[in-house]
Amino acid sequence: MREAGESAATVPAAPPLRLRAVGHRYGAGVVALRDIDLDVEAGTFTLILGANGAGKTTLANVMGGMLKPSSGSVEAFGAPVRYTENRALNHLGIVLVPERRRLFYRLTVRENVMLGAYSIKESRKQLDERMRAVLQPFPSSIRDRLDVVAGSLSGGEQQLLAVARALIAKPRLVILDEPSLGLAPRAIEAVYDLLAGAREQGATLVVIEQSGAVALQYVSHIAILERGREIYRGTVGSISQEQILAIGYVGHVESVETTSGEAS
Amino acid sequence: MAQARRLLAARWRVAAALAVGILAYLATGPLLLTDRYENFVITTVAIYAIVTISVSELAALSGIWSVGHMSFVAVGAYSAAYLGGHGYPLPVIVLVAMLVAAAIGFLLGLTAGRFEILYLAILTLALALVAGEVVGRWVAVTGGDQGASVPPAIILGHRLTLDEITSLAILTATAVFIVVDLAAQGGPGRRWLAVKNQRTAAVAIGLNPALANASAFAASAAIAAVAGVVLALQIGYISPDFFSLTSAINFIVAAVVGGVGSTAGSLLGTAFIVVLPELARSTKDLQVIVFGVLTIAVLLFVPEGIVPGTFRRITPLLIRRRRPTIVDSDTGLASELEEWLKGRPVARDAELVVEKVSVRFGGLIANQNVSLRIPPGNVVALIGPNGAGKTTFLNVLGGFVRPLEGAVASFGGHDLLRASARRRPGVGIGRTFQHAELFGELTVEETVRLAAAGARRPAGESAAVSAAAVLDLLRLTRVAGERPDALPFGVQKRVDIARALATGPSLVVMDEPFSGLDLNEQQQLHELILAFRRAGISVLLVDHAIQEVLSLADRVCVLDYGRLIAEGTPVEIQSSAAVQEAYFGRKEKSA
Amino acid sequence: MNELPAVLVSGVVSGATYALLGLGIVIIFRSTDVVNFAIGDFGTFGVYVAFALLTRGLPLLIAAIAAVGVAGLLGVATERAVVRPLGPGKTFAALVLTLALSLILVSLAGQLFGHQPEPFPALVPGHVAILGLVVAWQKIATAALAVVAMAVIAFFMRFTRLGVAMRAAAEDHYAARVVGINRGLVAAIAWFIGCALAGLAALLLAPDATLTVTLMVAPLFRAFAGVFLGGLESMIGAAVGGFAIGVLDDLAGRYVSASFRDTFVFAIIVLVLFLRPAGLLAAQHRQRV
Repeated sequence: MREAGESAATVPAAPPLRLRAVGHRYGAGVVALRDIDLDVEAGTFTLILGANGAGKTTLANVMGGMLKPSSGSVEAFGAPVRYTENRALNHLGIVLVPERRRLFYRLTVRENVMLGAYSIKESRKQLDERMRAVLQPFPSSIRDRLDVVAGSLSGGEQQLLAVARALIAKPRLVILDEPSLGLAPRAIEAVYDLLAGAREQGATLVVIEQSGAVALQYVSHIAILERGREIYRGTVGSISQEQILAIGYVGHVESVETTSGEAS
Repeated sequence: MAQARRLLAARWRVAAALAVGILAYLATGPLLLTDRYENFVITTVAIYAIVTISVSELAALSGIWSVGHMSFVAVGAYSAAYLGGHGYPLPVIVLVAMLVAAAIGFLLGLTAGRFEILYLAILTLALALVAGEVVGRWVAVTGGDQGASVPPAIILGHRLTLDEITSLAILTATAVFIVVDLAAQGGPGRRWLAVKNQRTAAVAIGLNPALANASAFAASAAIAAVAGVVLALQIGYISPDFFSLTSAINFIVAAVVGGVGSTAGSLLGTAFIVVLPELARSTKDLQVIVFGVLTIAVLLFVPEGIVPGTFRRITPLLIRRRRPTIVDSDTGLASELEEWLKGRPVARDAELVVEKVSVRFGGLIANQNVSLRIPPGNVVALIGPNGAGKTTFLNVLGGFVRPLEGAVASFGGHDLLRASARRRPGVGIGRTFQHAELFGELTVEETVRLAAAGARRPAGESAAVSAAAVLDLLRLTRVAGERPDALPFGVQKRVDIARALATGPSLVVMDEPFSGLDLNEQQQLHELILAFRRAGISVLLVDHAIQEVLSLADRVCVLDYGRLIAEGTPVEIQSSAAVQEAYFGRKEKSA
Repeated sequence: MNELPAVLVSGVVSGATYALLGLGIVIIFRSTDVVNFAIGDFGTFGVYVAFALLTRGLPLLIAAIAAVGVAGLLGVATERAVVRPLGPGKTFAALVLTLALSLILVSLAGQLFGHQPEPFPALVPGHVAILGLVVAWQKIATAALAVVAMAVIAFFMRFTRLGVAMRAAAEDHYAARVVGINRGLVAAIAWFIGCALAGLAALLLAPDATLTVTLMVAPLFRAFAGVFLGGLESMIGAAVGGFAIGVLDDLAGRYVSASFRDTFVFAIIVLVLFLRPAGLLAAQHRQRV
């Protein structure tokens, strides 16, 4: 467990996450990921785009420590990741916001946020203070309803709560799997505004999305997945907005490969 | 193809059951290979195997675990004692026992839909306890704790000898195994499985889940009662001890150890619970410990049961399964589909009229005064942010949620608010699901055929023919023999559409049909919906894919906070300020 | 003379033990999805160990603590050795597994300690007269200890970090892992608490019933009745259900029919289940729109 005093300021030089030749197959059959190389540099905001079945959730689970890939290596802050059945990588400061949020719907908002800090040893008073600080930028629909059961929040509010549950963990790296799933654009923006705030506080962010419509305005780097393979990687400026936007709806992106090479 | 393969497999199993039955008969009967004690054990195995298979198949096909089947055995046994004592012939006794057990089972089965698996198991446990008390205390009929003697069985004036009862038990068990296997693989089994796998989707194609569960439970109970009659004849004397809770639990162990839903497993599991204790009679504690340890070992190391577990390990060595190919080329799909749909006996003048639908959950207003019309052959889209009440509205249309007083919903003159959910396909409303909701244990072909079975078809066209046509049209023939888990999600969603089409709808209600599809699949779906429209079939489209919705729909309705905030043509909707605000967010940008 | 007060008191007291057992069942079920049919036998085994210690001259208090501890540790061992290897999501297989375990434990206790009933001393001897009603101290101690144990559990689950984590893990294992909750630890604690509660229940029942290998069979069924009355997911439900069953059972035994009391009790449960399929106090699932 990490001590309470530790903060984002002590981030070592090694990148938060480094994937080398990572591949995964489920059972004997479906190949979900193949040969993924990915460096997530400190302080960046990376958008990983991919259509359905591109391996997005598998990648999110690998990066978040929930799933040991069947091949390749994963390093977090310079040290190889040890995958265990029993818990994720929160003690390293890597926090996953899983697909479909996965809140504790029968617990209160307060208990949900509190559990986000489960890996941090601190007094109840310290936790309460941090909770107030972390929730400060959140809308009052969260802040003023701490004792409401999470299941009674709207979809957008639930996603915000999921973000709060991640941010309370003093994350150095947050991985979000389809945070915009099922949300109206209005609600998606609210989520991304909060993420941008977290980045300013020093967190490194990775969002995995099917459609980059909203995310594009916030991120610094982009990677594109297709059928378990990474087919494009670069900064936001290196690829045209139309091409990226198409990816949400397009299962394949031949045009991107050619244009990125020719830099049209 | 898959059908043929399964029937072939069924034929093999029937042959195997016959072979085992005949061998057992020959060994115990004419050939005199076994002594009296061995005969007793074999008879017991035969009788108990009947109970095991009734428990096992009920669990496999309906998902209902009964701990109370010993009660049905008791019904059979005490029928034999009481009715036999009053001079009734064996066929009458068997019939009465089956009817009584079936009636109790039917009532229990009716309630199955209300309970989760564990609660139902406890309900059957309660039945077992109650049966135990009734047997112990209802002295006039059961003889109470003293027990009751069973008069010898008389068939056609002939009094059965002990050896003949052994033959009778073997014969009965063989017959039961064959009948149960055929029913499980045939129509009833498919219906039960569909209900077990996806209750809502089963309702949407017109199945009656309560009836399916009740009939499954009734059949299973009746079979167990038959075993009870034979058991009574074998022992000649019955007492409450035979029907203890422990013996009820033993059948669950037998089913699980052998393999749930496996016929051979039922026999093997029964042998396990009967023969093992016989092997070590003298050391009771030790024998029970061995029994318990072996049961746990099976659960841990062959969790699917011995027979299916062994098969799973052997099959890959024998048969190399190829992965299913994706659907065939879609060339010409839309026009072929349109032609075919035009030839279906479907009402093309039905209009959906919904007025003033309000739904409240507790204090939450999910729908408020929602009105909507779908003229014949129109595509109407319903959009709105998450939590706007779209799903609730769909559930009202589907008959799963009852709106507040004053609402109107009718389709082609049929009052939807008074008809039960499973009448929707009957009035011509088909439904597809956001997550496809296919029946996990049914193949594509079985699924579509099941949907076609209740549909209006041209005279002389069988459900199989109609299903084959739908599969062919939607280019699903090549995956007809696959189960959903072997199919990519896009294909699953197409199977869902095939299932809805097979019910012969004149209105298809589609819940997020575009979600989870890649661009290619979205394009195909687009064409498909246009083909419906050209063939005069209406579509209600509920989706997030705004571009698709706007380019497909004749009219668009926008829900927000349960209210209809806008309604109009796609062009009107796109320029509506209220919609911009609710749906696209404040900042001006193309969604 | 009016017997009702005496019947009610005895109902509440036996209800207290059913409530303890039921609470144990629910805690284990919520954290590992296992309906533990062997839970009563863990308790019985613990009391046998206490009995062995008593006959060797150890004080009752030590023996009592040993009973509760042994039951809890047996639970932890079971979780580690057979439940965890079985894997998640196998509710019914796990149920059968605990049934087998129950068979093993009963026979093992028989082998080790014999099948003869043994007398077990009351935790607190003597009687007291309250408002003209003579009540054994043991009964009062039973009810009091049960209530204290339940209050401790309630506090733990509601207000401690680990308790909240256990409720979280009960709801969603995956999400619990996501926030860094160690699932193995949570499962082990749940089994310890659950089975220790059964140990306590057995300890409280043994003096009245004398100690046999089947000590907990009848109480277990009543506890289950209580659990299903209150809802498998609800800890409060299990406790309230246990008390309700205790009272109903004794009332039925006295005023309806001594021979058909199981039938009567279960008839009530079935009736309740028909009205409220997930139990009387089950969490109302809020329907999302």
